[in-house]
Amino acid sequence: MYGMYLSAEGANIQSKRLEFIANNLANLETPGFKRDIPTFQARYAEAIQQGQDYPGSQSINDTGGGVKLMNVDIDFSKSTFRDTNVDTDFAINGEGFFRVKDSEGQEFLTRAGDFDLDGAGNLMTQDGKYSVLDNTGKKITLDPLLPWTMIGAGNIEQDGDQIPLGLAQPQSLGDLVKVGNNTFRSLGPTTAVPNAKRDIRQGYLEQSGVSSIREMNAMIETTRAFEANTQLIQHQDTMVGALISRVLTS
Amino acid sequence: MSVQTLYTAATGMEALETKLDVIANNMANINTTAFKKDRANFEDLFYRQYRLPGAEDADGGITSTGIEVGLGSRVSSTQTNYVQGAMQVTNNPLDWAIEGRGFFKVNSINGPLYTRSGNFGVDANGQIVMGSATQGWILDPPINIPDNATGVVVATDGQVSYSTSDSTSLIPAGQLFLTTFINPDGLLKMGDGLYQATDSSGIATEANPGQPGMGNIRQGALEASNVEPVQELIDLITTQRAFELNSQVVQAGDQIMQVAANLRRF
Repeated sequence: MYGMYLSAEGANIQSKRLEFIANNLANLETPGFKRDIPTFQARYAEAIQQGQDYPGSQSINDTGGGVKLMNVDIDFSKSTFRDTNVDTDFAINGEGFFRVKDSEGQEFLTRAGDFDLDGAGNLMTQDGKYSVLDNTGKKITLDPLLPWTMIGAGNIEQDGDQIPLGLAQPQSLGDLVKVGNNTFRSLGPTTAVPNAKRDIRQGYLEQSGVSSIREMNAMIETTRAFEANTQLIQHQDTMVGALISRVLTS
Repeated sequence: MSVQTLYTAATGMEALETKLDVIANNMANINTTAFKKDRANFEDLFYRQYRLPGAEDADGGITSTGIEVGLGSRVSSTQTNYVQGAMQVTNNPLDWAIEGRGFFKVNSINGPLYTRSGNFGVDANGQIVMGSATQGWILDPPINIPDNATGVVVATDGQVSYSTSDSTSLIPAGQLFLTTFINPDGLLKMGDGLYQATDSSGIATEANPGQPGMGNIRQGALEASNVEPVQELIDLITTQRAFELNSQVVQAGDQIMQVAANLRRF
């Protein structure tokens, strides 16, 4: 019966994988979205897990123990830009993230630069939940009466003043955790992006990093692997059934 | 289980449907005077934690990152693009286009409303009103054109004057003001080309046309809609395809459940 549980585990993990594919495809149009890649790993056999044997013993116990969801990686590769002609749209060409802060003062990072001004002239994210920060961690506030423009190297110029948009990068991209609303939380410390690497394009938006073809392929693979696992469950069921009837008739 | 797949894909389909609504409205207003196109902005929904970072799994391995599954997407806002529309020359003296950021102010029973549609007319009392299907909205401050006027002239700085058959020079009728907002995206759309100020649009700033950031008045022209048909059609195609892809995910989730449901044999 052990094999049945292993097959069930396989089927289960494929249906979980489909959840990741569903989320990736649902965010096909989300600016700055980075796709999730779930990684699976072979699990130790039951006997090894319980300490009755050791990995690599090559005994009958070491026959593999199914599969587990190891972790979820985020694919941070740069996506294509889209020309939007909107003044409050920004795209980061290169590395780094925009620094944003929620009303409780907690800082987050985002690649989605579809910002907007609120009634007081503060630069905010599109849902109005986070304020966009400058490189010292202060809110960016623009004078309502004067025109403003991006003058390169990530600086907003208004009336002779320059406000550098806050750009930060984590020590490792693996420190970033998705929290929704297009933002990431960094589990480790972040550092400012060096001046030479600050390159923000106004009037452009970074598109979603999801490739529909790749996801569709993954989806076909997933449904077929699910079917294969359930087929195996049925085979094992038939086998056990045959065994029982043979024992009963003998 | 794959029930989550169904709901996640449904959020994507719902958001894309909203985007389609926005595109439909943009396309419907392709010939509307001074119409400003909208855009649907997307964001991802929150994430469900399967396993917190640092938790121990069955093999005793400690993972540096947790496992979190996203629950789909939604439309975070529909944002209006106020980029200048093209100038349509009409040679009608009461067609005024704004070159710049400003809005005309008109009066209604519910307070001031703002518009960029400059297809004005003169009502029975000689007042300049905005031409609208439902009502003539009176320009604020009001400008009167008397019966004996033979022509109306607006300077780029908003000085309105008229000519008569018994005078050789132009007689001033009033001064036109323009209003700007720090965040025009925060204006409430009232239909009929009208906008209402909200807390989010910020303080209204009034000034003469020609002042910095206000814009100039161009007489005898109308501002065309800023909808770009090619862009909208491309958006239409990609939206439809993205919708199809999400519906495929629903089918896959359904198929998985069906396979699971037929697992048991008798």
